[in-house]
Amino acid sequence: MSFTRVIAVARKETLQILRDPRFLFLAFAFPVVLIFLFGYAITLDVREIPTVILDRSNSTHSRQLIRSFVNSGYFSEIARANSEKEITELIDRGEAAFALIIPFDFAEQLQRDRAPVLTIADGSDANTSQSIVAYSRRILTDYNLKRVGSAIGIDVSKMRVTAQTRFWYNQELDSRHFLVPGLIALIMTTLGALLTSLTVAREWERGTMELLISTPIKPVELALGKLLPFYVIGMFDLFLSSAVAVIIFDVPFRGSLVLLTISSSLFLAAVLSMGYMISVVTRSQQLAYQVSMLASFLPGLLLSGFLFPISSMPKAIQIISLAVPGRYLIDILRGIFLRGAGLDILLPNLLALAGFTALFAILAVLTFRRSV
Amino acid sequence: MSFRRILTVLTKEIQELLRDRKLVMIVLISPVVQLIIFGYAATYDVNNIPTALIDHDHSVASREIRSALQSSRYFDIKYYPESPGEMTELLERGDIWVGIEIPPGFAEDIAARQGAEIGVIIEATNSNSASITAAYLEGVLERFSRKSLLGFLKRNQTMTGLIPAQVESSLRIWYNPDLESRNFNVPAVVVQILVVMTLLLTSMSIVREREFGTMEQLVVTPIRSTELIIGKAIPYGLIGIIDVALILAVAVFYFQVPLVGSLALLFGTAIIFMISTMAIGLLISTFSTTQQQAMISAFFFMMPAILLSGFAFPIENMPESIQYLTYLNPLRYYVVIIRSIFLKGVGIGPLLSEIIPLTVCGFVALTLAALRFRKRIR
Repeated sequence: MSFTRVIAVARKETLQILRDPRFLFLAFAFPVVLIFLFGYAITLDVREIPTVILDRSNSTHSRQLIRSFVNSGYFSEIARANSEKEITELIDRGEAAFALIIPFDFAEQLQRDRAPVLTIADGSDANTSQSIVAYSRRILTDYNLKRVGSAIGIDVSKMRVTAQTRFWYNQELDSRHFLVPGLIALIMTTLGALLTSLTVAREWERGTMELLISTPIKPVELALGKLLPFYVIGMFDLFLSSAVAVIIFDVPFRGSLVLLTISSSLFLAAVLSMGYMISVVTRSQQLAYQVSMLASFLPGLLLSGFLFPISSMPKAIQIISLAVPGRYLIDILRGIFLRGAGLDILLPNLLALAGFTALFAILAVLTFRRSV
Repeated sequence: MSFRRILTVLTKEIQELLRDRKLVMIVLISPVVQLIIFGYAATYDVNNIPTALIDHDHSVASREIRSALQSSRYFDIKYYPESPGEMTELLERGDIWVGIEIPPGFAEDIAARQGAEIGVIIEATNSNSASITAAYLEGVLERFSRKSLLGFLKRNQTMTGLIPAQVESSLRIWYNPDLESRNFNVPAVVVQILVVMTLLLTSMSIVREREFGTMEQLVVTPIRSTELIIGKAIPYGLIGIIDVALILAVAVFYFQVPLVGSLALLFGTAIIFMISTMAIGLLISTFSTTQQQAMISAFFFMMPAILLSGFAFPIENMPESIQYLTYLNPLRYYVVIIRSIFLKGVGIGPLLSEIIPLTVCGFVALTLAALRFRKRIR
């Protein structure tokens, strides 16, 4: 392998990129713009669930119950309904996600054995409704306990089992800390595959591949030369996005910068060689684009653990997710940023990425040789 | 506008598409495969939370806590570590999400009515799962407290009469009674697959002609720009409709997502939606000089469009300025439409407030694409 030939190809590729200012701008600046936008825009936090209340009892007891819901901080009353029809309408239109209905005889029932109330959750938003179930149950149990306590004149806070809970790695439970490292990984996965997927296909489409083949360059040299400029762009983007995450969004950075550099390099090597392989196999830009999008974006979004915990997926899907490079980077970034994880914990992820790189690189070079 | 000329472009485009066997395969098979995989993956459900428990007390009360946790179906006690250090290690390696420590003297504290406390550590990297986990855990503890308190009162004959009535709620979950997050997410995944399939293909369509140098040939023919645009869009639209049929079939028959509303309405709105995404694709195509540019522009439209569509992150929680921005996003409307039709079964009436802006989006993008395109030719 000749180093000069690699550099020559890299220079040609760099010149081509530099000649297209728009592409350059998009590749360099846009990932950071996206992190900015999403960092502000997206959050999974469920609080102030819009609640509609129908109080038919209108007694001191019912008002007390309503207060314990509203004062909990989880539910915020957006409307007082006069009929069940109004409640149906509000939930149908998606304006309310939770309804509390207190029947006429609530106060009388409370003098007896049990007093039923009706609660309705909008189940079409699964994330919110899960929280609604958990929160509303808690509030009711708490309310009942206090009633028992005040009836027999003892302080229930002395009688209950409480949890002294510590939230590790993300004390304020800020979903941004969880999402921003994932976003960096998602953007880099897709960008890495996209940037390179066209590079060989374009040479075929434009007929310049024949020219390249007639030069003494070897397939490995061509691949390295073509990937080098994209590697530089990718590393630049990764560091800039990480800086934005830490400086603007206060995502803690507890791990080591060296480890971040090593793992980002390995990751980029994996996705860039994947993109390169796609490019070699497809030979058409439209097809290369479609394939690399399918291979990177949606799997990166849905199978990587970015949003949906991998451990909750069925076993078969968990196995498929092993083939998604983004999953390893997400693990690594969250580990380095939030948990301050070291090499010993992240090693399996790094090895997986190295395996990917080797596999794609060998496949790409072999296919290339055959197609020439 | 001449129908014959549109037909000619249409035939040419379809022939070009069909010649690319690999592309046809991808366009027809991949959406189905994707939906099957992603349909399983997209779940928020928090259950079987991997848990570790240290019981320093070894009492009846601590065993009751353990069985209360186990029978709650949320917690799966996988490890019984010997020491807090061991538990920390499990947590650091990500083997468990929750570590619970019952201190020595726990049962005595309860008996002495002084309030008992247990130590809990939750791995909160995923803040969402962590707060749900915490709420479940407190629910378990409060039910335990209530039970033991009531038990105490019942044993104490003099106090039995004083126990007040308990408020009980019957919780109804509308539209999705089993709280199956798949029913909520599969329709959204349908939208995402549709965008990827339609927007990407069309964004390359015109710029391809330019890069291949065949655009000049098209320009010298008597064809008008609108005719060319329509002729180019229709084949992709047909592909889109086939894709819609395929993935809806998977969603309904394979995943058994209840389709409460009307199938015709679902299809009709899907077509309006695809027109808008294809129009945006064409618009990107007219703005680009190389396929590479078109590709990266399409990507940078698509990614925010998907993440800001409300499929996972509620739009109401976004800052106001960004909420306004989402009004330009056709996905925003279609995610609401498809979920409402699937889960709520609403008719066309309540959906008009989504369908009209969606149509406007498509119309504006299409007009812009045609205008831009005319300018480029001259």
